[in-house]
Formats: sequence, structure tokens, C-alpha cells
Amino acid sequence: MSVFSGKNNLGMVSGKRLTVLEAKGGLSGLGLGELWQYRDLLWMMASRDVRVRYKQSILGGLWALIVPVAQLIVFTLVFGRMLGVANLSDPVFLYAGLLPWTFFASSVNASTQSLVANAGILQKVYFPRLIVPLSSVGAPLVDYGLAFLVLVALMIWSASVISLSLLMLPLLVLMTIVAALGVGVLLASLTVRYRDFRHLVPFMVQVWFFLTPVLWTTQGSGRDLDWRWIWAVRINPMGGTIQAFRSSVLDQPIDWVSLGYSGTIAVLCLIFGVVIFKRSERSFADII
Amino acid sequence: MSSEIAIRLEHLSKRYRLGSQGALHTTFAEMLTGKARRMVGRGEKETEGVHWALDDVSFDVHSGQVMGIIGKNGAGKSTLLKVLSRITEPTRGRVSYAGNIASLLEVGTGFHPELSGRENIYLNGSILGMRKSEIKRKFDEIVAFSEIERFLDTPVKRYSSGMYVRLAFAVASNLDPDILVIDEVLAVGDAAFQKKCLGKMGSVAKSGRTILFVSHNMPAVRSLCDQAVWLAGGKMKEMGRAGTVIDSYMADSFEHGERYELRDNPVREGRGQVKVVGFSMVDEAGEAIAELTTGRGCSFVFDFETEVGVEACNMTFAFGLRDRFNQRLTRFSSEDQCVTFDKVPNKGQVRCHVDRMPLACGDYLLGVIVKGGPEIQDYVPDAGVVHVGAGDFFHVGRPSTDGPMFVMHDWEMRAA
Repeated sequence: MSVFSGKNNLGMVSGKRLTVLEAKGGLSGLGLGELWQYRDLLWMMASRDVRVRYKQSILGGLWALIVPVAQLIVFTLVFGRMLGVANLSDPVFLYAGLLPWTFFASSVNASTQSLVANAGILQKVYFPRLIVPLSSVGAPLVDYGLAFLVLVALMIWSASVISLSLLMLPLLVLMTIVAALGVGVLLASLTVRYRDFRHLVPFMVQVWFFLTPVLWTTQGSGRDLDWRWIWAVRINPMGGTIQAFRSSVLDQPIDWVSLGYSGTIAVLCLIFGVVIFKRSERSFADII
Repeated sequence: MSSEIAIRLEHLSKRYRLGSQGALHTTFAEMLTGKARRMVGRGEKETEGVHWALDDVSFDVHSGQVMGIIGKNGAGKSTLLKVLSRITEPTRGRVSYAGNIASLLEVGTGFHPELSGRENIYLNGSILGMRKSEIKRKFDEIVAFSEIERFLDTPVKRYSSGMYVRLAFAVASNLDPDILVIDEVLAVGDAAFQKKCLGKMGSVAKSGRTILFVSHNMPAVRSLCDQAVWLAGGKMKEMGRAGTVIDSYMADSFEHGERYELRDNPVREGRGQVKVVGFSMVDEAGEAIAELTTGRGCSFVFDFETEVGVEACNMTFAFGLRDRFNQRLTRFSSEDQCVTFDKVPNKGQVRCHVDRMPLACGDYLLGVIVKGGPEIQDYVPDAGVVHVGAGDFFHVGRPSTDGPMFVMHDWEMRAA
């Protein structure tokens, strides 16, 4: 699709934007301007998902608190008490890793499924297709916000040091969103064509969980990681980010190098994901 | 009418792949086996299983015109609208248009059943391209038009289909596009509301906007449209003044009726020794017809073929009709009536006669199934869209409109 404005020589209505639709190969821009025009839709679809999420359930939004708390209890019990892993007997340590990871994992899962879940709309109305995977992180983000309250409660309960490093958290949340979208946008467009990804992605996310410093740490006196493997944390778009999240919460020094690597890779993932998405979106309606 | 052109189609063509290629390798495994087969040179050739839904269509629509698009099922009308609405990309050729297009290919697209009417107005409006502030401004008008004030805060899953359609059309008709593209949205809803929708479309047209209207409802096309295009087999058969084009289309339809080709339908299940290759409909006199009429008699005619050398016996046939919401309304099954067919010929027809069409005016999806004993031989869930025109079911001299379905019945009153 291309848009010309101003004069045209087709004898067509003047003073209106002229749109030309024809078969095209290659990439015709990322359409970011159009995405901005449709920003209300982004908001609407995200808020739709949030509203619908806990409809017809008795506990409603409480689920966003119950699940992470239950998860925390199980992990502390099994790893901290039963297996005696020193780090994991500290609920603040554990939760500071679980919280951003849970958001990342549910965002990746949601955006991977998003296009197929909205197939009906994609076949009937035009709008920038990127809106669909972008808006799908809205509901996980709200859950993230609620689950964050548990972290605050834990920190107060354990009388943690409230330090300036907490100011890093908004940036780290943003980096998690970028990483989740980068992976999610790419997987969403692949899932349209190859439904194999529906089965592959949950498994992939599970493996990823163990490769990311959620249950272990690369820093401090209780360091678990053999330092020769630090590159594995750095090429992981969530590696440095989760580590930095925990460091900020525990008031430890942040590993800026790892954070820098992970952040850069997350941004590259997003660019790559969007480019692949734009290349394949023209055929979505035909093959979904 | 202005002489400026609002939409221009130049050699517009759209190709779809059929059969196993239709799904374009749905799984990795299929992709890999497909690749392997092609490497050893046994893959399907490009020309096989290709269907041109639109084939070299060119015409202009002038600004302020109401253009009707008519044709049989599978003629390419919906594909044309999909290309115009930017849902799918043309394979060849070009479409240019001035200003913005809003398309209504299905009412209530993007409605979420769990959300209230109010929430859905905002959701649906923004999916159709409205800004939030714009929806807010028009909110009262939309609610008034839809007549659902009392149910605004009820989830739409509790709405009747009539209320649902009213709300959806109310949102859509309050869009302010330069070009409005409408696909048979008026087929649902009661007669009064259909009239209201037609009135609204008329006033939209008078305000100088361009409308493309696809419909099987010939009286509606005749009264609303200045111009019409008749598509047949993806090609433009005739274009001109609406009345003239409709007349020649109708003449052609009555002559040939409508046959739904199913041989190449890719979406089917079953063993396939017996296959339904097409179906058509005939009236009481045995004449082929393009659409059914409420209350009139008709027969559904299914053409089938059996594999060479297969002795089919104990066969049963059945078909079902579903509404736009994919709800099955009724089923016609020989099995239910303990009718089975033995000594089935290799090529033949099976007919199902219906005395009095019980469905109200609208479009219905037909699915057909053939079984040999308990085994499914062929099942085509989406064999075609059957249009039922308004008719007089109870023989009282006026059309029966409030469906979805009519049943003969009697009334009496007694003193208690």
C-alpha cells in the first residue's frame, strides 16, 4: 500500500488522500505513522483483554495476587526448605526474579497467540496488524502491576532497605516490555503460518526460564553462576534485565555490562520481529 | 453526481490456491514434505489448484455514487470487497481510491460477547477506525438508533440476534468515511429495522459519500443504487444503470439457477469414496432457482460421484443450515427418517424436497454430509451460502418476517 497526497493525474477526487493498493514484494515502510493514528484502538483492545480476563469469576482480579503468592510459597517451600537452596529461602530474592519473569512469560504467550485468537477480526476489518500483538501485553501488564504490590508488601515485611536503586525499576519494566514484544511479535506472525509454534512456545518459555537468573543469581556472595557462562546470560534479552531488577530490589550493585548487552539484544529482537511481521502481514487474512 | 472518480479498479485480479496448497503449509512437517516432493519432481504444478476469484476487473466509481455489486455466490463479490477493504492484497492490478474507506463486511466484527453494549460501542467503533473522542460525541446518536438503551450495560452475549445487529449497524452507520463498503448486512434483523438501515444508507449517499453495496436483495439494490456491476466467475459481466443490470442478471438467474460447485472445495472430511460434487436448488415446478423463498416449496439437489469400482450401499445423506452466528437452525437427514440408499450409481443426484421453507429471509450456511453406514464418506461444512427471500409462510397475504423460523400452528381459546 502506498499513500500519495496532493495532486494526482487520474481525474480522481482532489483534496483527499489518495491510496493505491497493489501487489508488492519487499517492505513498504513500517507504518509507524498509521500505528499512531490507531492509538485509541491499541488502548481499546488492551482494555478489552483486561476487562474480559476475570469476567464470570468469583475472585476476579484477586487472581492476579493469588497466583504469584501461591507460586512464591511453593518455590520457597520446595527449593528453600526442602532442598535447602540458601538464596531461595529468602522470599524477597525469589519474588524479585519471579515477578518480572512471570510478566515476560505471559506476555510472550499472549502475543504469540494473539493473531490467531483475533482471526475473525483480521478477516473482516483493516487496521494496522501490529496493534494486535502490541495490545496483548496490556493484560499481563496490569497483572504485573497488581503482583508488584506483593513485592512491596514483602519488602515492608522483611524490612528491606528502600534505596535509590529502586528508581531503576520503571526502566527495567520498559526493557522487559521491549524484550517480550520483540519475541512475541515475531512468534505471532510465525504462528499464523505454522501452528507448530502454539505447542513449541510454552515449552520454549519453560526452557528459557531455567536459562534466566530467576532461581539463581550471577551476583553477590551467593553467586550461583560459573562465570565462564556469563555470556549465556548476556545474550539472553531477559538475562541482564532480571538480574538488574533483583539487584535494584535488594540494593546490590547493578551489573551494567550484562544489562547493556541484554537491553541491546532486546531492542534488536524487537526491530527484527517488527520487520518480519510487516513482511508477512499482507498474507495474514489469506492463510490464518 | 460529481464527475470526479472516487474509486478506480485497474485489471484487478486475485488468485487463491486450492486443495492441499490452500493452507500454505500449515505445519512445518507439511512444509518439509512439500519441499521434498517438489525436489523429486512430483510436486503439484503452479497452475493446478489455482482459483482466480477476481480476474481482470476494471471499473470506476464516481464520487457520490451508490454502486451495487451483484452476482451469484462465488462470483468474486466478497473478494472484491476484501481487496478494497485492505484485508487481502491483490495478486495483480491496482485499486486507487480517494479519501478513507470504512467497510462493513460483517456486522459486529470485534464485538466481545462478555463486554456490555456500552463497552462494545467503543471497541467496535475503534476497530472500524473511529477515534475515541469521535465515538463519545456520537454515542447518544448510536444508542438512539440501535434502540437498546435499556440493555446498554448488559453483556452482548445476552442480546437477541436482532439487538446485536441493531447495535452493530448503529455503530457502523455513524462512521464518517468518504467511501462506505457494505456486504449484505441487511440480511439479518427484522423488516422494520432493515427499512431503517436502508433509509440510513440512503441519507449517507445523499450527503455525497460514495457507497459500494453488495447484496442478493435485488429490490434493495434497485432502490438504493444508481449503478451496478454484475460479476460472474470473477469477471465483470455487465456494468451500467442498476435497473438494467439487475434485469439481465435476474433473467440469467432464472434461466440457469445457481449451481454450487463442490468438487474443488478444500475444506472437507471423510473417506471420499462417495463425494458431493455440487448442489443446486429447484422450485416446485422443478425449475432451477438462485434463491429460496420463505413458505414456498423447494428441493435441494446434490450431485454426487463414487470412486470407480466402489459399490456404495447403505448410504445416507444429510445437510444442515446455519445462521450468520454459525448456529445450526435445522437439519435435513435421511438417516433421521430411516431412509438409506443402496445400489448407488457411480454418478447421480439425490434430491430432498421441502414442502414449505420454514426459514425467514436471510443468508444461511449450508453444510452437507454423506455417510455409508456409520462411516463418514464426505463432509463439506461450508458448501455454500443459501439466500432465502421474504415470503408468506402462513398464506395470509403478507410476508412473514420475524424469524428465524416458522412452524405451522393453530390457536384456540377456551373459557376456564
